[in-house]
Formats: sequence, C-alpha cells, structure tokens
Amino acid sequence: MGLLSAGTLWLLGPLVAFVVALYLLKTQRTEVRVPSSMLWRRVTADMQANRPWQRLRATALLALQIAALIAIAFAAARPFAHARQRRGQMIALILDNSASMAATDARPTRLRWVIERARNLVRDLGPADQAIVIAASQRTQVLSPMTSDKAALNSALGLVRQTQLPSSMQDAVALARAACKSSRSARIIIYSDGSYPELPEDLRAGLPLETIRAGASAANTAITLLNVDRQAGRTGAFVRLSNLGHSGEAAEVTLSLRLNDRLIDAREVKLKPGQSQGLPFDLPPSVSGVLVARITPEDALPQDNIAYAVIGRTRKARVLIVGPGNMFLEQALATDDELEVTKAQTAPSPNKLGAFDIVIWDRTDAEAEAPGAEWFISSSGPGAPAKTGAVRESDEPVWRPGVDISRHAELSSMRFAEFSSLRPAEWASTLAEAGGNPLIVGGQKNGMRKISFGWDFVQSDLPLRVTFPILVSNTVAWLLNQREVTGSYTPGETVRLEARSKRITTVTTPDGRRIALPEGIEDFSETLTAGLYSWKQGERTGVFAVNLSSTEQSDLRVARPDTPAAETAAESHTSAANKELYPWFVLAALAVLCTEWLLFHRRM
Amino acid sequence: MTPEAGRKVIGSTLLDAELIQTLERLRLVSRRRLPGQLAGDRKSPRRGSGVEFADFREYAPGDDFRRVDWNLYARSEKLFLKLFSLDEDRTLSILIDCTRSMDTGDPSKELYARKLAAALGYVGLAGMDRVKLYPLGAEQSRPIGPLRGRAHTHRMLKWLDDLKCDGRGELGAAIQTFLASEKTPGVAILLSDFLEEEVWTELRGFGVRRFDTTAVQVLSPEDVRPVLTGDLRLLDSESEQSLDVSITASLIRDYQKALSRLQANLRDECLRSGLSFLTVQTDMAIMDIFGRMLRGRGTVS
Repeated sequence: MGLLSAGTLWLLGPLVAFVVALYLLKTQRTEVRVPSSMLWRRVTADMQANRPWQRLRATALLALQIAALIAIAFAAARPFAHARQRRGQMIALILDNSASMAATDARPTRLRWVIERARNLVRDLGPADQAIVIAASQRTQVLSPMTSDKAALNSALGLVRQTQLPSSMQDAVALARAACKSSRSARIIIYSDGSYPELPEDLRAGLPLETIRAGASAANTAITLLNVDRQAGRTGAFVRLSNLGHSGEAAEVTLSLRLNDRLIDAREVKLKPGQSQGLPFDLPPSVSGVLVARITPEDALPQDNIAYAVIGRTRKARVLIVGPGNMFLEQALATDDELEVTKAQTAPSPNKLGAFDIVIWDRTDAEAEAPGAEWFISSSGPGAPAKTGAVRESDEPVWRPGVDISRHAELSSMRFAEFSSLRPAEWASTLAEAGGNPLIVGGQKNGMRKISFGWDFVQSDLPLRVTFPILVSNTVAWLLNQREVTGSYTPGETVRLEARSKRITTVTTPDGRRIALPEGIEDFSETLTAGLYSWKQGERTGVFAVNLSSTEQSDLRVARPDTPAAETAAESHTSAANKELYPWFVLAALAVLCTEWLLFHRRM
Repeated sequence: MTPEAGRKVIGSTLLDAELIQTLERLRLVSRRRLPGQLAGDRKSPRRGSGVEFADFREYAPGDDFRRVDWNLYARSEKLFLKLFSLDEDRTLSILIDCTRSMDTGDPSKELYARKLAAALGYVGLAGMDRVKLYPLGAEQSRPIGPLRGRAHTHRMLKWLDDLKCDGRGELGAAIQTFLASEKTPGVAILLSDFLEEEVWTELRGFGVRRFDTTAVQVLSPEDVRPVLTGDLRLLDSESEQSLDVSITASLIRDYQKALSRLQANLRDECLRSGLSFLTVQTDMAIMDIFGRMLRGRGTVS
C-alpha cells in the first residue's frame, strides 16, 4: 500500500489540534432559569457515580472525531494498494453490411441478427474493456472510436445500415488491427456471412480473428444481368437468371418485364441448382423509359429479384464532319440510323459547334473546342486529347488491352503509309499504338469524350476493310457514351450525372433520401442501395438505375465456418495496477462520524 | 353572601363568583378535635361549659362545686364532677411557600398557591374559624391573622395580592419558625413545591405538635414535563447556582423518575407523621382541587 498524495497528511496534525481545541472550548450553553436545580443535580449526580465511564465516553467521542479526521486525511492522501488488475481488452467489432447480409434466412435479416449479437457482446464488456465498431463492405466505415462507453457503442451499432455493396473485409480488418495495435489483449470479431474475399495472410496473422457466422446457406434465385442493347434500329433486352442454390430442387420462377409500369412480357423459368439462363426480349425500336425485370416468388434475398434499366430517349445524335470530304467515313456513319450527319468544309463558328453531339475534325485542325464530343482524324485542336508529333513510318497497330472501341475491330492487318506519333494530354490515355508510339488516344474532358486518330484514313486500306464500319460504330458509340442510353450501374459505382451546369444537383435515392451535391460536382457515389435514382439540376432531370447484379452477393452460401471464441473474451489478462482505496476511507470516516453522533445523543 | 355580592366586595382576581359559590357550601374538617381559644362552632378536646354531656371525673380540691353531680353523690357518696364538652373555635393556618422557586411555571405556582390559599382561607372565614396566613421564607411579607368571619375576606385577599415570592431562605427553617410561634395546634395547610432538600424533620414537627396538616405540593406542568432541549446552563432560581447539562430524552426520563421518587418520599414521610399529602398542578382548576382532592381526603366537607 502506498500514498499518491502523502503531503496531505501534514495537515493532519493541525486539524487534530483544531478538533481538540474545539473540544476543550466546549459547547456554548443557553442559560435557562429553573425553579430548582435540586432534581437535575441528583440526576447528574447519578451519572457522576459513573464518572470513569462518563469520562471514558467523552474521551471516546473525541477519539471518534479524531479517527474520522484521520480517515478523511488518509482519503485525501489517496492511498492505493498494489494489485493485479484485469487489464481491459480491445475488441474490434466488424459488421459486414454488404448486400448478402440483407438475406432473411436469419431473422429478421442477417445484418439485424449480427447487430443483436454484437449488442450482447457490448453488454457483457467489462469496465476496462474497449471496443470499436466498423461497418464493412466495399466501403469501410468506422462508426465509433475505440471506447469503453457502452452507450456510444450501442449507438454506433444502431448506425450500421444495410447496403447493396459487394463484400470486402480487407480494409476493415486493416483498420481494426491498427486500432488494436496498442493492446496486447485485443481481438477482432467479424460478424458476417463470409461472402467476402479471402483475407491476405498478413491480415490474418497475429491478432485473434473470430467470425460470427450469420445465415444458413439459403437457396437464392437472382437476376444477375439486365442489359438493353440497341443496334441497327433494333432494341433488345437481355436478362440472365441464376439459381445460386447448390443443392435441393430446381427453382421455378416467373420473370416479368415491365416497361414504364406496363407489363410487356412474362415467362416461367425453371432453373436447376447452379444453373444460369439468359433470356432475350425484343423491345419496340424507339422505346424509352424504365424497364423493370422481376422474378417471383420472393426468396431469401429480395434485393436481387428485381433489376432496372433506364432506356434513354431515341433522339438522333447530331454529327458534324469538318474536312475536305471523306466518302468512306460518311458512308460508314450513314449506316447508323441514329445519327444525323452534317458536313462542312470549314469549321463553323464556335457557337454553332454546340449544336452537335460529335464534331469530327477530318484532317482539319480545330480552332475552337467543341462543347460536345470530338473526334480528331490526323488533326488537332484545343480539345484534342493529343497533339500530333513526329511522323512515323508504318508499323503494326496494336490495341491496348481493355479498350472499348476495339471490340470486333481488328487493326493489326491494317496498312498505312505513315502516321503522326501522338502526344497524349494529361487527361487522356493511349488506346492503340504502333511500334510503341501512340496511334489512337482518347479521354474525357469536362464530361465529354475526345479521341484522336493519328493517321489519315484515306492514306490507308482501313476503309476497304470490314473492320472499318465496326471501328467507326464503336468510336461513335464510345464518344456518345452509349451506356447513358441504358443507364445502369452497380452498387458503389460512381455515376457521372453530366448535368452540364454549375448548379446544385439533388439526387433522390430509392429509399427517398435527398442528397444535394456540392455546386459543380456531378459525380455521385452514394449508390449504396439498388434501385432507381433520380436527379434534378434546375430544369434538367434524369434517372439512373443501380442493380445488385452480383453473383457473389446473391450466393447465400455461408462461406466460412463459425469460429466462436467467446470464451477467450473472459480470458483474463492481468497487469500490475494500483487500486485506489480512498472510497473505503471516506466510507470509514462516515461510519465513524455516525457512531460519534449516536454516542453523543445517548450521552448524559 | 351571594357570589355577585362577593365579587363586588372582594375585588380580587384570586377568587371568582363561581368559586365563591362553591366554597360557601364547604366547611373545614379536622380529623381530630383541636383546642381553640374562643368559643366557637367546633368541638374542643377540652371539657368546659358546653351544653353537651361529655364525661364524669372525681372531684379534686379546687374544682368548681357547681359542676358536682349531686345525684351521683347521693347514690355513691362520692363527689363526681359532671363534665361537658367545650365548643371552641378552630385555627386554620395556611402556610405559603414564598421562596423564589414558586415564582416559576406557566401558570405561575405562586399565583396558583395564592388562589388556593384564598379559597381555603375563605372557607375558614366563612366557617368562623381563626384563619392565619404565613408567608414561608418571604423577605418582605409578614404573617396575617387571626382573621375570623367573612368580614375579613377583603383583608385576606389584599394580603394575598400583595404577597411576593422573593425569599431565598430555606423552607425548613421557615416551618420551624412557624411551629415555634404557633402555640395552639389547629388545621395547617402547607402550600409548597417542595423542590428543595428534604424537610422531613420539619414535617414531623407538625405531627408532634398535633397539627391536622395537609401538605399540598404545587407543581407547574414544566416541573413535571420539562420542555428543555440542547446544551443548557440551568440556573437555580433560589441559589443562583448553575448546572451545565445536555438535555436528552434519557435525561428527561431520569429527571421525571427523580421527581417521582421525591414525591413518593414526601408521601411516605407525611403518612408516618400523620400528615396528608396532595400534589396539584397549576393547570388544574381550583374547583377541582376542592371537589375531588381536598374533599376526598377529608380536609373539607
């Protein structure tokens, strides 16, 4: 035992002297006249008979007062005892709130179920224990700091929201490890259905990692793809259904397709466990609006039983070709009914350029940047994604991997005399190259796509090849950003609203929340739930869809076994600690004072 | 005298008309025959010239020949005197403790004692007794009496009104003075709170002197149930001595036990000495004292 503030004891002497002095000065008595003090003297004389005891009792009062004073002085000196104290442990609670956690095979949902389990753990935390709450999906969210405040932890657990994002534990576990690194008795508890990708070895090593499994491998049939395609004047929808159960009976579902709330088709589909089936649908050519695919009956994960596609308007894209004339290009563009092509020898005034969706600068340098998409063919301009450089001799062109416009467009057999080696702007990237020199460069500037071709079509055999109209079609589609026509995104994906103004854009989510984007910001990334989103910027409005469309998230198998290690929670980690004893001294002082008070009132 | 008339004549606060009306019906009673000084309404232990035959005794030289029963002499040839009972008056001595201890309480014990003395005195005067009032321990007041007859009521009341309880002397000494000065035994009523050291010897003196004595202890409610609390310095009203006490419930209980012991000792001592003992409280009605207590003990009838 020791004293944290031993200096306080120096006050004890003067205080005791003060009490004794007070005791000696005695009580100030009120004078009262009585007829006779004879009887009072007799009574007190009886007590005088017990004088030794009386004196002892008076001494006892003084002793009790001094004892109380000593107890208070020692309490102020903050005595402590050396003890082995159970050291609090740090627990990181990681709650998976990815799409698959919305499954109802655990009641009410997997996420609600694990939140309750986490609440139970928080309730059982010791006073020295600390915990942190992390919501984990493709986006990791720390909902409470490492704290022992159970109210704060429960409040944080109440903030865990269901998302339709893909699972990912990597960031959350890394965060949890960082939060727990100061403790030797830390552990990480993952509340999940295990649908997340395998954690790297370095994240699994060291700290105890426990998994509380939610759900029970329910069968699930999902719409894993809804695509609307418009080609050659035809519009078609493609729906892929998958039975993600891996055992049991075949799933029989009804797929219904509604366009603008009107049923346009419905089919009965039977899928064996593990089977996927694609279903094409023909749509009217000039269709626009919202296409909804839904399968019934409902199963364990309702979120993947519905998918949306927003089909854009069928306005013809206006294309301006500025150049000396290019018959091959004009014919290639003419094959697409959705294009309205205008030709010009020279560039119109910059104001007029805004009337066109695409401006093609064919061997004519642009003097001003068009507000829409631009295609530079052996030319350059202020909006060009690349500047023309040194002229190079022909070489075998090669597409860079993953380039959209390369689909079915073979360049390797193309012959051309020469090309300008392009120098890509910072916002652009090389799409194809020849002999290591950039040949095709593309990029997005101010929301508009720009592309540069470094050779003259006329000086090559490309227009004579089958590839040419495909390449032109792909390029025009890329420039028009065709996906806007069937605006569909996956959860978590950033959507560029392209509202083309600096005004504030307001987005309404499927659950009715309104999110105002900061002025000038058109990228919307809060696509956490599947469904239809609408946006408004002044008079301009738009709709886009977010679909779960994830085989991984629709697969409700519980991937990892439950590894409950709750017993380790009780495992005591002790350390040397000083336990303060002042409350006991305060209590002792109070008890002594009560005794003194009682004794005083029983006196005489 | 009617009560209304009595009130007019009396002009004192010590007696009221209703009490006087009651007192008119009362007479002092002595438990033994007491000798008087004048002829009166009371039977005297002495034989004299009354009309009621009392006894015979043999003739002795010097006796009055007129009282010889000659018929008896004719039968027995011996001289016998025929004795008749003597009707004499009776002396009522009212002794009032005038020490300062009586000047306490609410209502005051001293006032109550004066009221009680006035009532007893009135009964004596109305009964043609010789009424004497003695202020025991008083420094300024002097005894008054004997008074006889209602005509002296006003005088008696004035004396009582002027009575001051300012004495510091001891009650026992005052009683001894009274016993020494009063030659003729009679009815004595001693009004005191007896909150002093024991006066057993003096009380025995009443018995020895054959006084028909009633000791009345007059206490205030505060004497019986002290309303005191806290740390006090008690000042004795007579001796001015102080005593420091811390009043507690147990101390009050001890005081009350001590008072009961004192009363029990007084009662025993009075019984042994042939005195009656009575305790009254100043919150009791005077009429109740007469109605229940004095009449019950044979002091009045």
